[in-house]
Parts: sequence; structure tokens; C-alpha cells
Amino acid sequence: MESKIGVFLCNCGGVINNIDFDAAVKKVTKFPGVTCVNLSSNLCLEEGREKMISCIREENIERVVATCSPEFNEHIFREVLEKAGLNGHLLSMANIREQCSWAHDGNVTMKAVELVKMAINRVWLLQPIEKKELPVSREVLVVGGGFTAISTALQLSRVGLRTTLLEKEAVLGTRAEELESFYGFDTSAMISSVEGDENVEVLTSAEMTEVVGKIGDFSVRIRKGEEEIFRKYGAIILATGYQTELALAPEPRLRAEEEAIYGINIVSQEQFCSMLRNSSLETQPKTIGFMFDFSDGNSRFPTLATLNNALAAKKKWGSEIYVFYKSVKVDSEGMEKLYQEARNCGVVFIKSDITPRITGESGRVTIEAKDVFLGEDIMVACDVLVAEELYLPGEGTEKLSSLLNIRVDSRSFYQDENVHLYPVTSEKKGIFLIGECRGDLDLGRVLTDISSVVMNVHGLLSLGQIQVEVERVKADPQKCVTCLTCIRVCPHGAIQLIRADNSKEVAGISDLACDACGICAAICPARAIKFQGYRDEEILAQIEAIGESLNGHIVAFCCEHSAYPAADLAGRLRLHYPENLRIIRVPCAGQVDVFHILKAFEHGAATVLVLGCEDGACHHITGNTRAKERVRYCNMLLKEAKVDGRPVAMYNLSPNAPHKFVRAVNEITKIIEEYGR
Amino acid sequence: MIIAERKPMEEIKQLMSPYKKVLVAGCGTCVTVCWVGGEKEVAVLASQIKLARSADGNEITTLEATVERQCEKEMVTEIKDKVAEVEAVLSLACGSGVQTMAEMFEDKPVFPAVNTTFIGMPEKEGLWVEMCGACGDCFLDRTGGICPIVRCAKGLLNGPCGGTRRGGKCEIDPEKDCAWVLIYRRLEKQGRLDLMREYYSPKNFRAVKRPGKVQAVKA
Amino acid sequence: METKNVLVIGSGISGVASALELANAGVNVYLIEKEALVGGHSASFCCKATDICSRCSACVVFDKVKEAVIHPQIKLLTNSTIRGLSKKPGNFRVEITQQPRYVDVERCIACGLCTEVCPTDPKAIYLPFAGATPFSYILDEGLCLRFTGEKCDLCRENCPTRAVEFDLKPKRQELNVSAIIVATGFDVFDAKEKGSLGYGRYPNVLTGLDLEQILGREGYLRLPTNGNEPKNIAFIQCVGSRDEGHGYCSQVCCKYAMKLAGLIKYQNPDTQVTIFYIDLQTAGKGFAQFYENYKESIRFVRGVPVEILQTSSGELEVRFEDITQGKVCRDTFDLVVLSVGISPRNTSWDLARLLGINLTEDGFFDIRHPLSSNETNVGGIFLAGTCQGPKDIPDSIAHGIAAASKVIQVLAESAIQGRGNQGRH
Repeated sequence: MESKIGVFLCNCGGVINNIDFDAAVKKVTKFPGVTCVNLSSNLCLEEGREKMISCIREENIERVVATCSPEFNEHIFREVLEKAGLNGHLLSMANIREQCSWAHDGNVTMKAVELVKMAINRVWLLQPIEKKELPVSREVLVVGGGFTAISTALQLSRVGLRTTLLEKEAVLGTRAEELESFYGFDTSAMISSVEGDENVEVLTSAEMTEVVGKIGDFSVRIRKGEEEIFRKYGAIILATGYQTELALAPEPRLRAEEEAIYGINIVSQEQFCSMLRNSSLETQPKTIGFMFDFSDGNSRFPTLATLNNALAAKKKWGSEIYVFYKSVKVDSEGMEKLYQEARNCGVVFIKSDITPRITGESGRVTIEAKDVFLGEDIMVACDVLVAEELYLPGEGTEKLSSLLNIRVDSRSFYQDENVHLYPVTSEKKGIFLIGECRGDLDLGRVLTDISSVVMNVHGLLSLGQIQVEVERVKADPQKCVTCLTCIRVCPHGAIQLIRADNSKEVAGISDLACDACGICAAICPARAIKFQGYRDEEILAQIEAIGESLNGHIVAFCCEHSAYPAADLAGRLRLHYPENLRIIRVPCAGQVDVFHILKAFEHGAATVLVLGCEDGACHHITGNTRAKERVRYCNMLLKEAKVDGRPVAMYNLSPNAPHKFVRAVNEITKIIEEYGR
Repeated sequence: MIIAERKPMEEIKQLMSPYKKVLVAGCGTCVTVCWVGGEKEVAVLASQIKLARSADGNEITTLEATVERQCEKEMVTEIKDKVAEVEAVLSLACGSGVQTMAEMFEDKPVFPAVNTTFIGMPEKEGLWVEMCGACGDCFLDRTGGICPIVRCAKGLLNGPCGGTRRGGKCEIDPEKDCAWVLIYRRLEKQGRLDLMREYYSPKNFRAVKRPGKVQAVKA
Repeated sequence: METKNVLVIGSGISGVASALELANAGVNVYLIEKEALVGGHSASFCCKATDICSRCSACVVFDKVKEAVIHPQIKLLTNSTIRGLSKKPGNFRVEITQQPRYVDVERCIACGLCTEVCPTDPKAIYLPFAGATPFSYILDEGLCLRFTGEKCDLCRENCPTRAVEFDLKPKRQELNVSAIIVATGFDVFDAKEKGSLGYGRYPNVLTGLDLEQILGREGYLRLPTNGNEPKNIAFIQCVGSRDEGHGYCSQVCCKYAMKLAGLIKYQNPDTQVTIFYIDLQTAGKGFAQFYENYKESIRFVRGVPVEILQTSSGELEVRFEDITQGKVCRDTFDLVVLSVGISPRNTSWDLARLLGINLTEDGFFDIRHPLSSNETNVGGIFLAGTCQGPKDIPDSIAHGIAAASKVIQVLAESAIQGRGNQGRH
């Protein structure tokens, strides 16, 4: 296939002094397909870009190679191509500064030329990618019926989006008691407001039974009593809250015949709130005990509830109040002040490192603990003990997370702990998690969550359409064997079974939901999935451009979110590493295929490095774990083929960790040298 | 579908040792789905063999081809040109495919690169489990859809052996669920526990005369 | 909806989060930043991953700042501050003063020649840290010879793209915006105020911020005095928080101390780490797992040190009350890290006056209503991030997005009013 390739080299103001550009230009001009080679000193500046545009037009260039890091400048050159009348994706870049000139000592002309050749080989094969608007449903499903869900529905309504509020109980307003106590909310007013809102449909005693589809187009089946309701939504928001469970001390030693009865003498915070609201003179407790932070050190809620309730009880009844705790959780707005207020009001705080002993005696509850400050045991007999509660995921979390196929965190709340998902997204596009159902949050954080999700959902759905890249990743219906592997592994829920033209059921990748990671492409056993820009042939073309160098080269597949920027930063710091490293940029470590690695070996690589994000921080959730598994498998294959001694290595790092990048490269180089090539 | 497992490289190398130019042939049906013999694995194996032979100092050239179903003569015939170019064929298909290829290209040695293991299904992504023993006398109607011939370590037909471990695990393989516990629970859900009281005589393992032959009713 | 303009003051992570949300929604965003660099404090934080991510979110800052700087809907103005404001309903006329940057961001290609030829030591023209955004060099007037009256033109002469220019005056411009988001961030508590802890006197007493920047820059921790590996490190919590004058918890310190401790131990498993604390803040998403992994290998001591003295051998002796043991103790360490808290900016008062917004008694910007932590007492002016109160990075991002959400609502409402109730979209 003939194609006119224009190569634009830049010597960065003439400052790059370890590349012989004249020699480079001479060599590059001879490469097949190259129509013209230009040397600039300021390619990324306005004058440089103008010259590029003129050159492209004059020489009828069809594809472009530019030497610069794609980290900051890829979009600039894509724009140049668009302005010159070409599709912006017919561009490949050769990083001859950050990852070549700055990274090595001595003359690096040969490497620079090779990097350019790699880019030329790749650009030859690139296909144009178009953009298109796809319609999306503007309706939103909010699951839950408490404060968070109701507020969200109201705010969505205010920005013009219609919402269904789906609550499994018979009425809205779960856990209203505490909210009203602590924050003075008028729950019934909120409920009336949302029930009367013309943009909100309230469905109570209703549950989701099935969800298929993807962002912009979720098909949801809801069961309400005997009725089955079918709906389509553009986004789904889970605001299902939490539940609490009393966590009594490990050996409460409550004597059954005594009157210390759970529910009357030992209560939960919510029950205590009711007591406060509904008490008459006869039932006022004179001494009240609170305890928290012994069984569950990861919650803020107990501190918040205790301080509010203790203060309220002090003010209303003037009771003697003793609070047993390990560490007060004050890392929320206003909490320290509340804590000081409680102390100033006369609430006694007893700090203890060990869980207090609870016993029951003559209708009262006794708490015994060693006070850390006094170094002595303190014993308090209370009329009521507000016992420690465990803060747990809401009922139905497991069922719903499996229905929607979304991950939960290490405490079984919604939302994986991956930092790239914060604040409110899940790994599935269009499914959001807000409020307490994703972990212990205080009111301030819950409110922020609500506003965040409204912003996100409004941004996605308000126009009724979303712009996508058409068929960036596509499963070829002719080659697809419907093994369902890609559907199962896609971390973003972007692949479903569809009927192709010949009515065969095949995998269909949604342009809306696809996040272009390439995990599916790498795992497809029929090589049916084509990821434009990173197809097998485009990767192989880069590998094949690497020539024989004296010490054998090392091919490093660098994830664009982590290792590639880290390598750039290493260049900026002028941290040096061996020159025989050849970096191939990939969208995710999970896109690297065993096949690519073996081909690199076939082509003469001394070894191969795969570099991706830190464990737990993969932008595509499972990419780095899959990469690790593939590297392990690859090493097994190499061992089988008796090509061992040159192990493939996987390293994990962050984009802001240039030292880790250099350490990884130096380490692997050393290993290779020890084995002798 | 048919599940297979790749043979160790040592064995494959041994089979390929006399040859300098081979065709690595894949199949686009069962073995693709179980990640062992599709177009991807053909490429990987070809690469691996080349590297292995290179390391031995005895280079080998490979051609690659994948047919939709290697057990169909009409489909296999599509790659006859490639077969003609090589000295031998290394097939990643199940035994059925290997034999079809061998029959179509009688003058070329056709070698199996995989071991055909069982009829099974994916329990989860990447993990295939045996489900059916191809006994030719299916009685899944009586066992709530769970086959004890395959899934019970002892192949019992009339209830558990009595050695079931805690948690419903098999006496022989503690990682495995006791098939009869599974059957009991399934029948219980369906309200058909009366089937557990029925006695079934020993299975006729000669129900299918080997090699099997099935003539479909003419259309 | 016609395209609206919004001003975001401050380009720390919160301001950047707000700016990105608004820009993606089609709004024209002016992002002004008083420094020459974008990203605020957290842009220079280090990755604290051990063999798993420790959820510090420093890399998220890196990603977002990068995205903001190249976004076509965001106009970045560095070295800029707001000087004047006049209000009309739905419209603010803002006067911005841009101090000379001397190195033009649009023309600097970061070739590094200027720093090579610069005669001063430390260099007056330099790249502040590897991930500095925008990726262009900056000039420090305090170090540059020209500003002490000497003649020097080396950087300007040698710059291949004519990016360095000295004959510059502050520029004034006026912007008309429909809303303003204040995201001016925080100041770190000045540990010198607690003189007895030795910060500024003993080189091996560092703050948490110092530690972040050293690790980000060097990749390893070495003692400032002799470059050796520290063997015994102490972290002191609540320095400038939960005390007289700071009646709040800074929210970030317990976690950052533990994550930094975790990283140091991962790099050198033999290093002993002690954390002195009052109440350990271990709540928050993603922290439970981390705490499980490290609570046995870090020594936690209840008690806050009051004095640090340097011994004759150069070690640091920390005197503290061990609350659990009930007595005063002394322990020696190679290195002490003061977990300094988040304080309001010392420029908050001026900005509050200029914009007409209120301050809380702690000195942060005040909110109008406890149910809306982004709204100030002035309609159309919103708050994002730590300028409103201490927050960690994920909370700052969320707060920034929430502020953008409030702005969108205000813009939408004014559009409806403007078109006389034609309804939305």
C-alpha cells in the first residue's frame, strides 16, 4: 500500500547536541514510503506548526511522523493534521528528546533514527478514526430512598433530567431518625417535595431484577409487587445507604436473669435518638454510657453520632454522660469543635486502648475500662449504654453489585478502592455510587458526592447525545467465535452479544462505553478484535523496525498512564539508563499480548519489559493484573523453549515515579548482563 | 464443547525435530473458545517453536493457518496450498480435527499439538470443567441435570458413597463438591426428591459401540 | 445555552477539578494562578506505593493537571492575581494583574539551555521539579543577578526560541464572568512557630511537606545532614492542628504520615518508624487495608512530644509524655518529621475583602449554609477545596466538582431567566 509519509524532525531549538541531525535526515529520507523529511528547531511552536501545515499541503502528505513526546504534544499535532485536511489519527510520534537525547550519554543518533523508523512503520498502517454523536437516554435511575437518594433526584430534576427513585421499602426516608436529630432535617418535607416533583417518578416496594446494556442505554427490569416494569435509563446511581449492627464487647457476660436487656438498657444510636425525641420525665436516664472505636476503627459515623447524641442528652436531661473510646475520629468538618463542645459541656471522655468489659446488674449496665491517662480502671454503672456499632454495607449490596457486575471494596461497600474512580464513579461507565453506600462518609462528604454525581450525569446525558470515536475498538463479526471471553473480561462493561448482519450472535463493543484499554484485544483467542492504533500489525511493525544493536535491545511496553510519562519525567531529570531500551507505548499493560512479547524475542530482543500502573491503581482496573499473569505465562513458554535466562519482567509504577522507571530498567539490564547474551 | 490442553513443548519439539518447514494449523471452533488452538494460539506456538529451535541452533520455518472447523473436509481443503508447501503439519485441533487433516493430506505427517481431554464448559473465564462423559446413555433427567459419571469421583449412580466431607466435599478430592450433594440439592429445589429413592441398575457402558457412528434421520 | 465565562481562582487540584468539569460542559474557563506553576501543593507530592497502591492520589493530581493545561476550553493565566471586582447581577467584572513571568509559556520548549548558561548557584532560571506544569522553565527574581542591579543577559541571549524577555511590566486585563470559584488552597502550618520542635534549627527535622518533595525529587530518603539512610524515624502528629489557634483536625496528616512511613519501610525494611499521636484518624475509603498491613510494623505511641534537642552525636532527642505508660520519656531518632497541618492562606483576608465573602473564626472561607459547602454569602461566588477547610486530595477533587455543579445550576437558572422560561434544553 503506497502512502506518502512526511517526517518532521525537531532539534528543539538546536539545543539537542547528541543527535547528528544531518546524518539522521539522510538515513530517514531513504526509508520506504517517506516522501519528505523536514528538520525544524521549533516544531511545537506556532511558526513550526504553520510550516508543517504548508508542507503537508504542498507535498500532498498523507501520514505524518513528528519527533516529540506525545505526552503533551500529541493533541497539538493532531490539530495540525486536521487543519491540513488529514484525519488527526494518521500521526505517529518518535520521542527522541525525553526518551532518547535526555536519557542517555553520548551520541544517540542511531537510536533516534530507529525510533523514527518505528514511528514510520506504524504510521504506514494506521487507519483514520472518525467521530460521531450517538443518542443516549436522558433518564436517570436512582436506587435508594433515603436522604442521599432523594436529594440527588431533586437536584437532577433542577438541571432538567428526569429520574426514577427506586426504593425497596414501602416508604421513603430510611434512617430519617438520626438525620433529623443530628442535622435538623425535615424528612417529611423532603419526601413531599420529591413526590410532588414532576421530573421524579417514585417507585416504592420495588427492586431491580435485571440490568443489561451500557451507558446511555441501560435496560432495566423492575419488580413492584406482582408487576414487572421495563425501563431504559442513560445512567444508574446507587444511593442505597448503609446499615449498622451492634458490636457488643467480645464477652459481654450479661447474666440472663438480670434485667440488663438489650433494646432497653443497651441501645443503638438510632434507638437513642428515638428515646431523646419521645421521652417523658419518668424515663429520663440519669447516667448514660457511650462506647465506640474498639471493634471498628475505620468509621467516622460512631464519633459523629456519639457527640451529637451526648450533647443532646446533656442539654435535654442533664444526665451524667461517660464516653468510652479509643480514638475520636475528628477528620470531618466541624467535628473537633463538636468534640470540644461536648467536653466543655461536661461529657466525660474516657480513653482506653482495650475494649471495655460490659456487665449487667440490677437493671443497669456496667462498663469497665482502663483509662489511658489515669492508668487505672474506671467502672461506670449506667441506666443506658449506647453500644458500639459496626458500620456495614446496606442490605442487598451483594445482590445488587452482582446484578450490575460492579466491584466492592475491602469492606464490602460499593466502589473499588482504585483512586481513579473517586469520587463517585464505578468501573462501569454510567453507573455511579454515592453517599454512605460507598463507605463511611459524613454529611459534608455526602453532599459533595451528590453535587459531583449531578455534575457528572448532567455532563454525560444533558445533550441527549455523546460524541464517540467510531469503532476505535471493534470485534470483527467474521472472525468472532462467540467464546464470550471479551464480554467476561471487559472491565468497563462495554461488550455485549449483538446480532451481526448475517444474524450470527457475536461480540459487539459499544463505542459509548468502551474506554480503549485493549484488554479484550489481547485476550481474544481468535484475534478478532481490532484496536485501531494498537493492532497486532501496528505493534509488530514497531518491533520489526528495531535493528540489531551491539548489546541486544530491550523492548519495554509502557502503559500510557504510568510508565510512559514516568519515562518522560526521567528524561526531564536527566536520569540515565541504558541506550538499548526501546519503548513501545500502549494504552494499558493489559493490552500487551503474549504474542507481542514472543515476537519481540523472535526479532532478537534480549528481553522484554512490561510496565504498568501500581497494583490497585490500574486505570482499567484489571489491566495490570492480567499483564502480570501473561508475563508469568510467557516466562513459562520461554522456559519450555529453553530460551530462559532472559526472563520477561513486569514492573508497576506511577506516572510521577521516574526513579522507579530507571531502577526497573537498570535492574533488568543487569540481569541480562549477568546471564550473558 | 470439546476441551483440549496444549502438549508440553518438549514433546512438540520432539515431534517436529526431523522437519525444517511446518504448518501450524488451528481450528476456529472448540479449541479457540478454550484458548488452546485458535488463531492467537497458532501464532504463539509458531513463535515459540521458532525461538526453541533457534536456541537449539536448528532453525525452523513455520506457516500459519486456521480453518473454521478442522473436522470438516470442505473447510480443511481450503488450506491445501499451504499444506503442499510444508513437510509436516502441526495441528492444534482436537483429535477429530487432526484425523480429518491426516485423511485429507495423506502424504503429509499430521501431528497433534494438543491433548483432547473432555467435553466441558467454562466455570468462569479461563477455567473449564468436565461435564459430560459421552457415555451414550444419558440419564441427566434423573439426576437434576448433573452427571455423576463424570462429576462423581467414583462414578456412582445411586447416591453418595458415604464418605462425603464436611461442607459437601468429595472424599477423594476435597477441592471438589460431592456430585450427589449437588444432585440432592437440585432435586430438592425442583421438588423431585422422590427420584433419589429410585434404584438404577448398573450403566451400560457399551451403549455406544466404539468407534461411534450416528446416522441422522434423512431430511 | 450561549457559552458562558467562569473564573477559577487557583490551580491546585480543586481548582483544576472545577475547571475541567466546567470546560467539559462547554464553559469558557479562566484559570488564574498566582505562581508560575500549576497544580498547587499536591502537584509535587510523591507516589507512596509499596507493592500496592496506597491510595494517596498524588498520581491523580498529575493526570488532572496535565489534562487541564491542554484543554481547549481552559485559558490558563499564571503569575496572575485578582485585583478588583465589580458586581452586577449575573455578571462580575474582574480585574486581573499578571506579573511578568519572564519565560513565555507559549514559547518555552524546555530545552534547558538557559539553566546551563545561568551563572548563579542555585540557578535563578530552572525547572522546579520533574512534573512541573506547564512544562516550562521559571525565573526566580530573588536569585537572578539582574534584579540585584548586575548586568546579565545570558539566558535571554541563548534562548533558541526567544522565550525569555526581561523588559516586561505587569499586565492588566479585565474579564467578564458569570461566576467565580475560589480555589486558593492552603498554607502549611509554619513549624517554626513551635520553636521547641527544632524546625529550621536542626536540619534533620523536616515537615511532612518537605518529605513529600524530597521523595518526589530524589526517589529515596537520605538524612539532610550526612546523606546516610535514616535508621530510626519519628513522626509527630497534630503540629498546628487540634491546638490553640487551630480548633480543627487537618484531616490529612495521620494518613500521610502512615503512608510515608509505609513507603520508607518498604524501601528499607530495617528502618524503625514511630508515630506520636493523640487520636489516630484511620477512617476513610481505601485506608482500612493499608492500616491492616502496617499497624504491626509501625510503632504507635500515644503522646505528643514537646521538645526536640540535638545531641552531640547529631541525633535528635525527643522528649514526650507517653500517655499509656503515664510518664515523661526520651527517645532518640535520626530524623523527625513534623506532620504539619493545613492552615488558611495568609492572603485569605485580603481576598475575602476584595470579593466580599466571609471568613470563619479559623480563617477559612465561610459557607452560607451548612447544607451547601460550596456556596458563599455572595451569589455567584463559590468555594472549592482546602480554602474552605482541610481536605485530602480525593475530597478536594470532589469538592471542586461539586463547586462546578453549583456553577452549572446557576448558569442554567440565569439562562432560563434570560430566555423567559423557555424551559431547559
